[in-house]
Amino acid sequence: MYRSFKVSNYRCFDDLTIAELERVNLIAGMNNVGKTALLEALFLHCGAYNPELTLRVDAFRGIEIKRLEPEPWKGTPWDWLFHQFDTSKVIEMVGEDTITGRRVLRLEILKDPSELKHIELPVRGGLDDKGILKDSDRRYSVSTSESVKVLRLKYEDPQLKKDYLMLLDQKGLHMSPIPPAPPFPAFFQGARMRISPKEEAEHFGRLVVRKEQDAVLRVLQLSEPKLERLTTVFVADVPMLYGEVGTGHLIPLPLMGEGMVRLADLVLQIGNARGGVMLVDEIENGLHHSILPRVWQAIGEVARQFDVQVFATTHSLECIIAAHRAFSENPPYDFRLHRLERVGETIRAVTYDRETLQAAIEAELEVR
Amino acid sequence: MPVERIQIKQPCLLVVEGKEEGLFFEAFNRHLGLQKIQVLPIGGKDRLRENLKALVNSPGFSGRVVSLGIIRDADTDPQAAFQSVCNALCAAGLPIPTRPLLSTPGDERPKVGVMILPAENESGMLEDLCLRSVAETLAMRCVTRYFECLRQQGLPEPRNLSKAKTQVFLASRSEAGLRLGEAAQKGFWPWDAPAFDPLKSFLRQIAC
Repeated sequence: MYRSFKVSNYRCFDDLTIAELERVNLIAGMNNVGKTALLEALFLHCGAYNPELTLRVDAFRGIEIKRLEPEPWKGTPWDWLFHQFDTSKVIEMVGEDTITGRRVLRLEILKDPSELKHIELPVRGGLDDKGILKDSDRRYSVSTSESVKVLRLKYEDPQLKKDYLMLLDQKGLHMSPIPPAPPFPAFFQGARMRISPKEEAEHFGRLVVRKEQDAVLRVLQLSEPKLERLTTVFVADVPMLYGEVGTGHLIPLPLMGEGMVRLADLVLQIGNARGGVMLVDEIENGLHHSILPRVWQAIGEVARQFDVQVFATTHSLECIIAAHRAFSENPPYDFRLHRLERVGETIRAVTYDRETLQAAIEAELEVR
Repeated sequence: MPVERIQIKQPCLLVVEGKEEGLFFEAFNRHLGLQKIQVLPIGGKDRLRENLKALVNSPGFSGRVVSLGIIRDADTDPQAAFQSVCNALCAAGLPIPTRPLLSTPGDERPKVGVMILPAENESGMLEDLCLRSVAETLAMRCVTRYFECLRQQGLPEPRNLSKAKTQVFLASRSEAGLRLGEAAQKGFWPWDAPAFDPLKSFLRQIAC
């Protein structure tokens, strides 16, 4: 579990430290102050060794399609990640966690010809339809006369220090070495994203196998008390979650409303992230304010049950107050509110402990 | 249910005890033309420590606030009241003045000043200061006689004589039923009375 996190030269952050992290962390702040960027940075840090994640983070903001342009006169696919697009600097992310200790991730674009000429990569043509690596036995040497763009991820923890490269050229994207699985799972739920019905069913299936599916049912009953059970139904070869609400028919989950889907996705991912991290952008989306206290109570319970650390963003004061009350009334109070705010040219994090948040709420002071 | 929250809108903040005090000091600042002072009624004695910490965390406090004044009643012990404010300032990580009415040096941000009412080294409260400002009025003579009469009749003295006298004095105004802060908004306190001079100079010190 993260205790503190520091990120430099990433997106809108020149240097941001967020400390006093708890089991459940709610991030507030004005628009364009970096709430989603902080979640992205945490996601990259959770991935640890995988530079390919740098291409995925834009999808969390709805940018699904990205043109990869190897031509030398065009920018790199990673330019947007760098603070003020300054690719001469190094993006640095430092996380202090309770298991590994201090883990440092550095991302830099290699431009120096003397560094480029030493790079030798196995060609990775991507996965074919059967999930087998194409052309994986070939090797590829980089010449400075070629048009290549290279992102270096330098990973460091108390036991391991290793570089991972991602290269873009006319043949496509290559990685060297192939990154291992991350140290723990992490899921990102974007503000306007939902996971596919197939993925939902797969997540649910894994919980059924471990006999942990009741956690999902319990949370969804907050929004739909009549829900008796969940089950997987195949429709045109695609598995989908259906619920029984006492009408004599099973109903597809999406027909029960956006809030149900949002809640289901949240708890399904928490249930499948044991020992890891759940990142949720604009957590209040689709949820009626009246159920927010119970939703937070449930998030606290499932996060503890599956040993998952939660980071969520919000614009909603009702959401903040509901979270504070839920954790106050259902100990332990393993919750923190963090607000990102711009002071001059920099963005800083302000953390509210229980006593200070209680005082701010009672004194009617703004906290967002 | 969430209500509209207090947002920091000015570079100079004045923390006072409650809503009535808030109305009083808003009116006084308006009279003095100190529009850059934002009055925050969050300084109740029991919550000052927590509320100052929450205020320091508020959006816009860092980088925007250059001056902070805190006004509270002395009650029975002005020294203890001042020390209690200093303890709260310390807990919130704010600069601490060495004595009431003397702000912290200007190179520290925010500059912090504390005033204990009704005056330095005197026990009492804001009501005492207001009563002092009208002490020479005809109405106040009647107020004094009224309480003497009650005493002569053997009736028990009100628990808070200053508040009771203030209510009786305000009952003599053209609009009845006003509390101290509401009366200030209506202009029923004589802002130019000498009794208010130390307060004026403190507020001007806090104003940016």
